[in-house]
Amino acid sequence: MSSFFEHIFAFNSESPLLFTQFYFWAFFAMVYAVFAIIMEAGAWKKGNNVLTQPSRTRLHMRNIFLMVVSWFFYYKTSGIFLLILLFITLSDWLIAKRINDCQQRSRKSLASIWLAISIIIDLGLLCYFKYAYFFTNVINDFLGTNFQVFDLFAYIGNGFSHQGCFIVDSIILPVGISFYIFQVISYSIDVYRGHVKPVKNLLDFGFYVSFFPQLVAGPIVRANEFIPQLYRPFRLSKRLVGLAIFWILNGLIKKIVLSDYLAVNLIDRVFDNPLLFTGFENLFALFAYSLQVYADFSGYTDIAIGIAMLMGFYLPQNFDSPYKARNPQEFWRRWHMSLSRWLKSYLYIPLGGNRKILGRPVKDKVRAGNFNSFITMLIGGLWHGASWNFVIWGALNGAGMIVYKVWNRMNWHIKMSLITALLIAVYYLRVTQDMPAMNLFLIWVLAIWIGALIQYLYWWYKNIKNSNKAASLCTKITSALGTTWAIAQTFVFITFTRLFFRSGSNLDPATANQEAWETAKNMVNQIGGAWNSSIIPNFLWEYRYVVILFAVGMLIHWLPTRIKRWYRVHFALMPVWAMILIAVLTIVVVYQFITADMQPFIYFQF
Amino acid sequence: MRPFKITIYIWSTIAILAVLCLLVPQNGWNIAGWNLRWPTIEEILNNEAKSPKEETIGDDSWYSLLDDFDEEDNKLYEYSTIVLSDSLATTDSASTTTKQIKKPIEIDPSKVDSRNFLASFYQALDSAHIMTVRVVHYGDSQIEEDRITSILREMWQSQYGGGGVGLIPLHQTIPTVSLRQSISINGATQSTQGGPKRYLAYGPSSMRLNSGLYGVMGQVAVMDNNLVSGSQNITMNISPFSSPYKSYNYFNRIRIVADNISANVTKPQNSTIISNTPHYTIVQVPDNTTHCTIELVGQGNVYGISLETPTGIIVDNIPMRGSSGNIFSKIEQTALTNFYQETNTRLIILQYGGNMIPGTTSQSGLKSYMETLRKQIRHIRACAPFASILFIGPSDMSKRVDGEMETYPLVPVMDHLLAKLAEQEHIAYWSLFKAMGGEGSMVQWKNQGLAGSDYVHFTRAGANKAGKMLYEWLDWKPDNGFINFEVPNYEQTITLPTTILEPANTAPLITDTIIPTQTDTIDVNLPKDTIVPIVNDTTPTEVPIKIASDTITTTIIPNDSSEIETIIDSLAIDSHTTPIPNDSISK
Repeated sequence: MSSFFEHIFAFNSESPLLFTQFYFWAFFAMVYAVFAIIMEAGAWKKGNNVLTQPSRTRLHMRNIFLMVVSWFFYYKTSGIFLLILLFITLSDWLIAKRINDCQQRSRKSLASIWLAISIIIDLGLLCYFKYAYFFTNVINDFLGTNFQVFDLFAYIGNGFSHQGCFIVDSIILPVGISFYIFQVISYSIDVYRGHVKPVKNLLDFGFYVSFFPQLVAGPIVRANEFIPQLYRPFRLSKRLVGLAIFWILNGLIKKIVLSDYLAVNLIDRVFDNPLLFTGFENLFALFAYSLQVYADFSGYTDIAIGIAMLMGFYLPQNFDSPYKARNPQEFWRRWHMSLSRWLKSYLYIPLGGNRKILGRPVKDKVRAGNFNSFITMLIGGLWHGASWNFVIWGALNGAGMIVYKVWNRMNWHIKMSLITALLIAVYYLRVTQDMPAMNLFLIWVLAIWIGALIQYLYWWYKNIKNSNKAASLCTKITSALGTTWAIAQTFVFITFTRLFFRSGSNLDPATANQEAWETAKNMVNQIGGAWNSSIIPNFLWEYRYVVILFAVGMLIHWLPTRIKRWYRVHFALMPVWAMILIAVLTIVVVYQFITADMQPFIYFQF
Repeated sequence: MRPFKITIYIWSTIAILAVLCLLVPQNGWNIAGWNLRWPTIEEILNNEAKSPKEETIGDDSWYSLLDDFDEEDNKLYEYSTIVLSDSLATTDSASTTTKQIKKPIEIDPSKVDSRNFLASFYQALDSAHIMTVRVVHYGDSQIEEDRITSILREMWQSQYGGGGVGLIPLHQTIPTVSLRQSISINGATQSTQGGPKRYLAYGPSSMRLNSGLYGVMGQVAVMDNNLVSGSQNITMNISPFSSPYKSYNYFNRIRIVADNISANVTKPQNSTIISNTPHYTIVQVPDNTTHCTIELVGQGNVYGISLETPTGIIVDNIPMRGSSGNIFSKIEQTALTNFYQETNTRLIILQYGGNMIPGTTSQSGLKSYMETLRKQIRHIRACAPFASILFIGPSDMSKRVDGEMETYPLVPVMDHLLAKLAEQEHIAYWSLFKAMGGEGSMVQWKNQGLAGSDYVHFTRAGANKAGKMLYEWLDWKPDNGFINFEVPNYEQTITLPTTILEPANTAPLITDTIIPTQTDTIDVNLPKDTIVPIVNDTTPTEVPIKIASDTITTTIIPNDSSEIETIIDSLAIDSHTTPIPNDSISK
């Protein structure tokens, strides 16, 4: 019993309170019980059995309670780094007040200085904890120096000493720092822009920064979306409760069944040692990773949204079936939407949007927009992780968006000649260079070329016939085919960029750059070179559970939105006992996946 | 809906789940052949509590599987040399006849550091500056991609010299971190599926060969008329995998081990064939060569291509995916014998056992595996009597039990039995399992990024760590000199030229005065198993000579007197490491 409470209440870096753990739910059940008492105790209206609207004091108490719980939650996952969270909360609250004061007294330049200070502190901390290794590496690589990172905070913590209870030669990344730093930055800028009034009460602001459902993995909530909710009347319809439960169960299934099972049984081991696997296995793992990373991330935010909803708070939608996107730009409107919106408001627009390039106004809106969105994607890439792989990943996404935009405006004759030229160029490289990766690119470009050719011929045919008449069955089919083709192409492109994303993940920051690049390179070479199609049937059979899960996962993902909405709403409308039953069933099934035997290691290539 | 109600719903869900805990038996519910697992309340409340295991793998009785071995069958003997010619000695005799006798050793081998059994290897290291000392590292997928081996090679080559990665197959189907290889047939690049037909002593049975002609790597590529005809050929391109290059990316000699194939190195251009037999070709290439192109013409078997140097340490990485190491006795023996002798192989590392862990469920299965390994060890020893043998057991491996990763119960058993087997067979044993940290260490390695998500294979970083640990373990010197164990099945009487036992007396070896640049013939008495460097007038090269007779005479054609001195010095050094007569019959 004691170990049970220890699990819930004591800090242990090896067992953080994750949404997928039983201990989190025990913790949440207790928190919710206290939450209910705060909201309801003695709040009955005698006679008609109706709950009065909670008073402001009650809401205040609730907010303080949830904030303390959030701090505790953060302490459970990050220990002493809680101090950073508290420091950031205090400093940004104070500075935002100053910014507002200066704005009120029309001292715009002073306000700008305060804003700069706020951002420097925030980004400084983020850079220190997240990018120290990366920048040290970059400097060492370019200047040939041999700097080592040094944990200043550990040094201070040890009483200005190298020895002590903190280790000085490595820097540990505090959990969720990228998320809450972005939240406080959005707050400071919004106050500066006058979009949000500064929060009067420090405790309210603390609650906004640290609200535990979204603390460690988003969604990134903006001040103007969340702070108004703090004192809004509490209302929770049965349907909303049903939706909340739906999101939680949906998230659990995504996270544990789709993501964790696929990762543990195939994807991780391929990315760990790509050279142990044939090209097909590598390729399959790469595609499966696309699903896994979506299921993992969106599953986690689904749960966060559900939990927050049960407590009467609304977090923004974070994912909108991203692999339904028909082009890279649309993908980023459907993927990690809270980040995309953040980047647009606080990076793309300050950079100049589609009006300025490097501060200088330009007339060509398209060029400015492309330039700035590329920079945004680069920096956004680096936000995801500190290694060149993430920069490459960001660059690829930026390039993809620009290529799409440019392509879309082109005449079909030019399109066709360009893609043919590309095909010839890749073919030439394939023949002259001894690079296995070129096989991969050749096949890819060939597929695009064939698709383009068909579209080109169709466009020609349409021009000749000039048949812009009412939508016949034929045009319906062709437009569906066109959409499918666009979705497939976008999915393949995004999956390709994932190669760099996944290779750079879960690494020791000290060696991340080198290792990530090696993994990506080895995978491309395996896919392009060590292809062995004779093992494909064997692979599909031996890994049938993984393959089936992947297929089912993708199919559900691609279900039309109205079907998804239909079953979501019908779930929410079910009687409570049915929901509880489904919840129990889901948990039992999920548990089977948690404890399932691991896929044994199988060799196909000798 | 009121929060209070929601609280009740949440708690009732938890209550139903708790009731399930009570209802579902400890080992799960069997529903239509499918086991429904659910934890007990105990397991949830007390995370440490584990349900007792059904399996009995790992019981005490498993550890005593090899105890029925009769030590008398394989008793250790001590080397001792007696001088026979003491009383017969005449003043003009340059050498004295000695005889080796064997005497049972009294010490308990289980108390002796097993590295004593590597004496032959350690002693050979002293002469690495004039001749190659070869280490052949066989293993399963844990050493694939040149993992672990590459670390040993890098460390040893920086210490004792030498270059090249050693043996590589003609057609690389599994890449390595050291080299990039490709082959083309008549200019057409081959995929891993294509290329010459390969046969393996391990892997799927469809790849087996009746003749057993697998060669030293346990795999052979066959160039036959289906593949090439007439003037057609196979071109093999070799380049380092990535920069910066490692010491082993540089070599100056290519050894093509193949039957009836003529090989021609087309890049680098100024390369010369210095030895050509039906079974191998040795090509001299410029120093510090990193890239090369080899053309192979003919119809026959290609067993491997070795990139090496004439001195220093050469370390071969020979992974056999999925193998348990029970295949050596299936390889045609002379191929092994010839290779080990020609290349002065002084250490053979066998790293196996991991592939037996998941599937072995019975004691009899394990016992028979152990006896198969015993046969393999004896077989290898017969093929390479001068080589030391080191066995490396499996790493820690984990499987999921009730959602938690646990060490396979068979791993500690296997580790124990392999150590026991090594002791009984008088070979060295390194426990990778213990070096990693014993039971449960795989989980830690995984968490530190040292092992992959299959909880079996190391990542590159993990393999580097394991390689360094192995290197450090091997970097050893006994406190009181090596115990002169005699290896069983290896009895011989050799004549030791006592004159070269004492450095002062090395001079009489040279019977004629040497005039530099003039070609002379000198008679030298050499101990058996010495590899004689032959110096010709272009570059110093070495041709291994198998010494069959008691006393051999070899010819050295010097072009520089200092070279001769070097050779003789080194022979003197080498002779010190051979047993010195210090015993008499009466003792």
